[in-house]
Amino acid sequence: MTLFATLKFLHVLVAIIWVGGGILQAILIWRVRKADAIHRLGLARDMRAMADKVFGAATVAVLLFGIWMVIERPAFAFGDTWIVIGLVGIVLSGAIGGAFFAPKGKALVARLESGESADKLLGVISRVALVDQAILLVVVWAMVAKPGA
Amino acid sequence: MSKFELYKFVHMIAATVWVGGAITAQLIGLRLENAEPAHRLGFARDMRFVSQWIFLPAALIAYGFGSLMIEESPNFGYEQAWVTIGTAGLAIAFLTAAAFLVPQSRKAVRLMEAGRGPEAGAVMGRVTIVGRLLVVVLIVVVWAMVAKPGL
Repeated sequence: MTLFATLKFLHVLVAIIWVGGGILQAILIWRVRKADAIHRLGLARDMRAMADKVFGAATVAVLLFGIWMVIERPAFAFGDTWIVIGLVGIVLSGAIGGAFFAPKGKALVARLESGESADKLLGVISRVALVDQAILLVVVWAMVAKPGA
Repeated sequence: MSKFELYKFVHMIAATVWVGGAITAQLIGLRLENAEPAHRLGFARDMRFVSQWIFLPAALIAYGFGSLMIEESPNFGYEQAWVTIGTAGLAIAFLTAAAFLVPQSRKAVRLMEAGRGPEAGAVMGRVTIVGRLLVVVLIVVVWAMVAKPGL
């Protein structure tokens, strides 16, 4: 297995965990709006732990393996349209994760721990999660169709 | 966007939903050992829903669009090692999920709802072990799709 193939495998695997895990989380958030208080709180804590320990690291790893692949392959360039779309999308999604999901996730757990239902906040998180997933689907499309390559 | 690229896009999205979701579910499952029974039951219900209505359809879509890609590309053939590994892996994962994971998850939820926690725990333990083995199979499939041995 060449270095490029290894990098591609790691890039794809981490991206699958990030994007697929994000989609699963969006589904669970949608379902938990009708759940009892204990499951809501438990799932909110799980989501926060996943964001802190898995998705944040996955964002960085996807970006690093992707950049390494571009450096490794002479046919790829950072100015290629599909790579620009990928970089912008990953940075945008990472920024949404850091600036929105991290603080809102903490706020959600705090509110649920204090006995509130936090319906409104769950709704906002759910809607932003859909926007985030839409951004990531555009990135996946760019990686597949490679516009400008 | 060519027909092949469209097939590849749908194939990859479906595979991502399935494999990424399954890995994430396993990671969340690791946290449930010390969780409250109500949260365990809620998560088991979520997994029952997700397995039946998200993962199984996603697996079928990934397989169907993968087959369309092979038909569409003159360079790909069913006899190539990477396609054989992929097809075998998908078949193992799909059949195991349909024949074991989904019915056992349903059973675990029924037992939890009946207040038979220890029995439900034993069923969930088996579901977790099989689920983890399937994740390994799916990672091998991802490797075969990327490295394409035999092409």
